[in-house]
Amino acid sequence: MRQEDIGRTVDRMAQASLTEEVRGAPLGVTIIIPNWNHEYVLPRSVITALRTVKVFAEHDVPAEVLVVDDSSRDGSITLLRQLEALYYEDGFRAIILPKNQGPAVARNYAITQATYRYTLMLDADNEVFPETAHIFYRTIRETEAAMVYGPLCFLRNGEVQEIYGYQSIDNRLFIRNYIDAFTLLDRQQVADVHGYLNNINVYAREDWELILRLTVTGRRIVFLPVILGLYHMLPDSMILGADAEDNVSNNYANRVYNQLGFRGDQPINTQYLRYHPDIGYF
Amino acid sequence: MKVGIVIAGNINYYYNVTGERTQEALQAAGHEADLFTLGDYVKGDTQRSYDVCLLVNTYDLIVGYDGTEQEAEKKLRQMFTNMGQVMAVGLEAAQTKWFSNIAHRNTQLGVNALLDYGFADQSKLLPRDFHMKYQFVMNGLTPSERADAEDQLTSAQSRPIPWAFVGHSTPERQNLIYQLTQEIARDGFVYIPKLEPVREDGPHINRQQLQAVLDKTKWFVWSAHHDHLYVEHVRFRQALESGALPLKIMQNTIDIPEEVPFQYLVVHIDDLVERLAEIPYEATRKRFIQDFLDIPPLEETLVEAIENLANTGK
Repeated sequence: MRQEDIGRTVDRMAQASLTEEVRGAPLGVTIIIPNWNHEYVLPRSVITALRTVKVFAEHDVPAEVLVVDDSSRDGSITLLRQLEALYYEDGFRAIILPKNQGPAVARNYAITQATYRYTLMLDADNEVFPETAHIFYRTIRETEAAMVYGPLCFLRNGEVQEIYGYQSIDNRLFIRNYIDAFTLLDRQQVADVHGYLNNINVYAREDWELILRLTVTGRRIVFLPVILGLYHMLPDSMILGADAEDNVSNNYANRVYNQLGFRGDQPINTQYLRYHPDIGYF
Repeated sequence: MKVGIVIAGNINYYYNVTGERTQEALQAAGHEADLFTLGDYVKGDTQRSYDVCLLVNTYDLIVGYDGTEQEAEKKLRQMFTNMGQVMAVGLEAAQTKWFSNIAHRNTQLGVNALLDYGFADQSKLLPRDFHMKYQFVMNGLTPSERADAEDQLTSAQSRPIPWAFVGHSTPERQNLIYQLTQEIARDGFVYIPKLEPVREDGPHINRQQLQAVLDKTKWFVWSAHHDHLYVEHVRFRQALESGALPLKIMQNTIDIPEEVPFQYLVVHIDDLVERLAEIPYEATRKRFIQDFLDIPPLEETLVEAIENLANTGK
């Protein structure tokens, strides 16, 4: 992949034509794993993703795994080529970006390259629960939401640190994020709002910025109170940076999404949207 | 007997429901019972007099009043002048700070009698600085709840959700949920918002929403943030309403008084997997419903308790 090709793709994310590009994608799920120097933990997320593909198949839902490597310098690329050789028939693909561009570009590029309408955004240090992923799929189909998220169990050295993403959306989201990137997305709707923002002001908080953009454009973001998977916290996990006080990101979010300061009082479409396919909205 | 029942109406639905159940029980026993908020009473054209006034969580009545706490206390004192006897209604574990705080608030207002709803008499567990007259009320079912429970005995409701946990987030509860996902089933229902006051218009799950969840759930699991016997009587009844089986998880070993019902549904966390594997679900569900039906009805225990407290107290 040449640098200019990637650049053109990213540019397309800012154009309405992208919506056309992803429109008409067949129903199903592409599990996207952006990777950068996570050779040692990547097999764990890939294996759970491949198991999830099998569980989807049991429910007649086509699925695949797509790893986009952001130009890793560890052994990830060799590993990915081996995994591709072993699991291509099981729906595994890997794309290696020629230059490191950061998670927003890697995710956006993956969204353009996915086969299916819905994308499960898994990180290399995450594990998805194959048994629950299908409940998320049912939810996004039944609610027509742009995003469905659920609680995640954060582990450090195998010990529970926190259950994160624990409640539905309200206006507090404009002050502080409490939803991880590990979610199920309707990539058509994500493309409509031009994907993740590649901007240093929101580095490591691109997922928050996307959630805010979906929220203010009236998209539905639905909370499903079922654990989607595990987040293994590593010394350099992005969640650590995202969780820390970051005035640059906060100022940016405030400037763009709440500059008049009335978001706290303005109803949002997605306020308290909670859904479970066996219950409905509740 | 003419009874006025005062609820906050806008804070914690546990207490609003307790007010509604109290009204139903008293009416079923042939008494006149009105349910209102302090604000409604104050605004009323004619402020009625009652033989007995029941305050369903005095703390919430004060906080939930549309005005300052001082104004709420003043209005409560004014209201008391129209009441024969004033009694507080409690649902709390006697060893908790919350119990003491509410008792202290009652004493400050001159309310000196407590009707303690629960599954076990707590008179031996009362804090040293508790100066109210105490009367235990076995928290059985109201007539409508008994009719619903009879229906649940024969219900064949499908329950695709293996377990549900609803409660504010604590480290112990997070560990328990992780254990449930690893050892029981991953697709349980998890709702653990951060601790904040429960309001009908807030992010918490209200009574109807919880019931909708439990209607589709096999096991309603919970673990209190302390190991005292807390609102078991409320949680067990919530499970009963939907025909789900409740399961209280204890983080530590404590001696549970012999008279506490449903001990077969109280499990130490270390025994969770083993016990769940050995409990026959449908037979235990029916046993639970029948055992609840066998507890004396609320209208009997409540009227007796009010009369005891009004006449002699303890």
